Amino acid sequence: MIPQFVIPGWMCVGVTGLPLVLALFLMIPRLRPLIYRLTGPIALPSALIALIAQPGHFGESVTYLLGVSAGFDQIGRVFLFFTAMMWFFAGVHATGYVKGPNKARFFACFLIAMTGNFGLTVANDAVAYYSLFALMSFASYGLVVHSGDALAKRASLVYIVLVVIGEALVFPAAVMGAAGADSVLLPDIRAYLATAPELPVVALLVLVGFSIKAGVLPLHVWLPLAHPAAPTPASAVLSGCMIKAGVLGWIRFLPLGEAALPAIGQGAAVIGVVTMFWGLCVGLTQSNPKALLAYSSVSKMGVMLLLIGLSLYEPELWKTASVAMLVYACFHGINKGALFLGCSVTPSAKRGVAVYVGLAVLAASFAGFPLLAGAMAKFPLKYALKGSGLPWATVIKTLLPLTTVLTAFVMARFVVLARPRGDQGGHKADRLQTTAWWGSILLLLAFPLVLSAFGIFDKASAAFSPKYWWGALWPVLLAAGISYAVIRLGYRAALEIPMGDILGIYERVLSFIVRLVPTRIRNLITRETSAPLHMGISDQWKQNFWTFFTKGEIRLSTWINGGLIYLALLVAIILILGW
Amino acid sequence: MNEWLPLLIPATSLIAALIIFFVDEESRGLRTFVNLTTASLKVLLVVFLLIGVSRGENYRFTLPLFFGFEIVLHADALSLLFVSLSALLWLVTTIYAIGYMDVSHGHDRSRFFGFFSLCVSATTGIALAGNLFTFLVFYELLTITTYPLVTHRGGADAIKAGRIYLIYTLGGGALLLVAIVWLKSIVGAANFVTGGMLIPFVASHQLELTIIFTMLIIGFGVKAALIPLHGWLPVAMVAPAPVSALLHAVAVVKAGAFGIMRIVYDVYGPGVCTELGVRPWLAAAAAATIIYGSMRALRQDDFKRRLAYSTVSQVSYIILGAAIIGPLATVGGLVHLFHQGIMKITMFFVAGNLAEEVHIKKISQMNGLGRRMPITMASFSIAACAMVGIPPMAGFISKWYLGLGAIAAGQGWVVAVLLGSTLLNAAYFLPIVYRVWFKEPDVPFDPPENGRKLEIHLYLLIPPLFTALCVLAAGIFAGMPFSPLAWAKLIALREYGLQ
Repeated sequence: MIPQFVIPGWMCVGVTGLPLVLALFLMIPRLRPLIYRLTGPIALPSALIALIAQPGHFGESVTYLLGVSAGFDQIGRVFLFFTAMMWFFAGVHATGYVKGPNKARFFACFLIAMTGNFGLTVANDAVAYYSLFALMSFASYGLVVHSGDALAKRASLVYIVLVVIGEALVFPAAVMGAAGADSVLLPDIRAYLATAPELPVVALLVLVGFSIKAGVLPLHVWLPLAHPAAPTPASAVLSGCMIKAGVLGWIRFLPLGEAALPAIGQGAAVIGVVTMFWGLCVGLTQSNPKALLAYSSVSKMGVMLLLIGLSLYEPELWKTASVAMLVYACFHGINKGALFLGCSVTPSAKRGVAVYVGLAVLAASFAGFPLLAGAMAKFPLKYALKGSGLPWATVIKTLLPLTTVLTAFVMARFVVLARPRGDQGGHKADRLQTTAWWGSILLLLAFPLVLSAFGIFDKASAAFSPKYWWGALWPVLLAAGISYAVIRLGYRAALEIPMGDILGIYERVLSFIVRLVPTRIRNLITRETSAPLHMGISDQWKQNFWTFFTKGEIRLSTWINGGLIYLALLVAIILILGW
Repeated sequence: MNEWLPLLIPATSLIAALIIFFVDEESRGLRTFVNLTTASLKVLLVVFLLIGVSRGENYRFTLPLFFGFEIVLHADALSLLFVSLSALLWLVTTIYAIGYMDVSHGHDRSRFFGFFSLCVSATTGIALAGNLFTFLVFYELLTITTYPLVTHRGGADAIKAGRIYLIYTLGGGALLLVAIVWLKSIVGAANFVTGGMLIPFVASHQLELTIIFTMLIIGFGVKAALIPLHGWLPVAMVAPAPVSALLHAVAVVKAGAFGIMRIVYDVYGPGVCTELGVRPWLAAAAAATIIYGSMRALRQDDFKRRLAYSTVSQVSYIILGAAIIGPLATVGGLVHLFHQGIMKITMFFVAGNLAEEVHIKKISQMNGLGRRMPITMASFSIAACAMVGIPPMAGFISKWYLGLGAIAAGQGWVVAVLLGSTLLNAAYFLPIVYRVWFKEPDVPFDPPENGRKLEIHLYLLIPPLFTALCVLAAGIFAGMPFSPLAWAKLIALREYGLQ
């Protein structure tokens, strides 16, 4: 058993802040090569304190922000551990992967986003969480836009717009919670919200606001664009770790297990299920391996939202659902991160058994192959679903094998797309990059150890009982077999849904709305003028002022004409009457 | 001593001005010495005052004049907020102005620095004014002393801008004069009283007080650039960079906003304002200004003009804070008085640096500028993110408290306005940040002159960097004693009689 220690708050802040300190040293050009090499290892202290921290201890300081509280609970520990480990592998991978004149900019953004992502797992107050979330989100803009090509430009624009909207939605929720609770501490806010009349509003804002980061339908559109656009190590942490910050946001801001919101809970569950299937179905049609993985992430975040929804429907479920979420998030973080790293290692690799095996292990694990991490993560999920009292929870349970089969197909397709070809021009992975990839695969294989280190293994241990093996095996075999046959027969996918699927609809709706706005107002907002300095508002005003009077005068003159006729009539009537 | 200290603070800048007017145009060293000594001395005096006021000491200077009018200078918590802002930023701007004027724009420097000091003297006078009459005297003085600064460049543009500026502000001042005399006829001798002094008169003079309130708001609204009284501000952009910085961050715009705060808190008092039913109107005007200013800022390609409309929008946060009932919103508005100052002054320093070093005035020319001027543009990026309200920068703290106050007062719509403003601010500031860091330069920028290693002269580099760090620190260390937030809380506690 790993010994546990009480980690003081300042140490949480200090250790998770290390990447930011490292980023500052990038300003000295001489030190840059060293810092590129340290980018991965700087994540390890965070993983270590997550491992040895005794949960339930928080340090507070009123000096910073509006009063900061930092420390570990069980959820934060697990999140920080897998997050830090994946940032470690991605950081090592990035050292050789990222080249070009903007290398320093990339690493600056990478390290800043890392601090944000680490910090928010130990943040215990709303302002710190929100701040670090923002730090991470805005810094990762630099990762998405890095390559500067057309895809990156489009992806980063969609990304930043949604990030700002997400920030704007979470802000009122945080303010409402803090105003009511008269405290910025997340436990206080949750306790207040549990009985607060404004809970439905706050819950909706939190659910929608963080679902942008998590990538839940219909706000997932940035994800399938950004993941392929970003350099591979960045996609790995985006998909493996950063989207989990959205999930953690739901957990931190919602009074899960304390308050029931049946309608919103059911709605969230439905959206979760739809997201699950949407991600898989659209993912199957992708021909860019990273876009395919992005859709797969969308689908898995649907699972997370489903659990949140079910727990909002009946608070008693949160106890089992939280464990399921922890295990699942941890599994997905490691496995998806490793799959992404594979995207840059395998295509350029020489045809060799080892690379094939690595790729196959990752795909098989993700598809739920017996004894691998994916299969283990499924058991707590099943327990949670079994415990749910939601009338249609049984429907979800029966649909679950279907998602397993679909996932297996998605993974089979991924292996086809990312298989070693040895002919990939341009990027070629060096030894360090390959080692980082193998490291992440090893961590995935050690998944049972990771779970037992955090004391959440027992729920997943059923995966070791042989009676479940066949149930986990057949979808993988089916998918692998059919995919093999399809490739042999030479069929190609007939349908390819563009990355970002419904984004096109949004853009069309948006341009339609813009066209609805009167031209004058539109001009006011969109057109940039370069009028001479003195042609300011005052001149325009003057102009309007005069037009007002000119118009007024015209109106006045018509009145006078009308009045004259009226007067003439009046005189005529009087004359007639008087006569 | 306690009697003379409030007088000493405006006097330091006044003395500086008098000396500088008589300094020979070419005696740079002497002028710089006088400038920096007095500015530093003033900061020291303000620190002394800050400690005293936080302990609850009383500082008051009285000079009786004719007909019962008297000049009263009085240091309370609210005036200290404004004084410390102006003292701090005066020092920074003086350093910047020395670099700006002495390095390149060398004409009429003594006139420039003389009026510069006078302007600050007037501003601190406004901050320390103990009654409306004193306030008005310094307020008008400010108008007069800023005119030569706005028109400093000469030329038709500058003269026209100066004329527009005078028409607007003198008009506002005239309205104020009428309102203040009218108020005096009702109330009699009227020093500012924390928490308001009109409670005994509300019942008998409801209508008059409402009309006077409206006149006062319109009078101060000119300088605070409430729509539709903001026309002068974008026009006044012809002024040299340090003047624009001072105008937008400290002196003129803030004087208007500060006037409105004094009216709401220390003349009428929060309770009376509520009773008269004027607060919803003030809040509506502020909200409209916030949104309208941002909309206008969106379409400006001229960098300084975009900043000017942003000022129009941001200053109304302060007024919004005053218009919402409750101590939390008050904290939000007060702290924004300080925060907006340090954020906006950073941006104007940056604008000055761009015009000075690479001759760029338009946003569309700023592609890839981050590589040529990394420190300048990093400072800008910090300030821009703070304006949007991204935590943990200063702007977020203001927004947070305004939001808390709005919700505590049951005014949920204000949160919607804040969000709208956040989105608009993001829409007009973040594209600049994107251009600067993520786009390739269209044409190579002028390299630094005669082999200088720094991206720009040190005197022009330090001020924006320093204020940008202040923006960060004001957010990150918001919980420290003597942080702007802590001071705003102190004021709010005293205004609402909670302490």
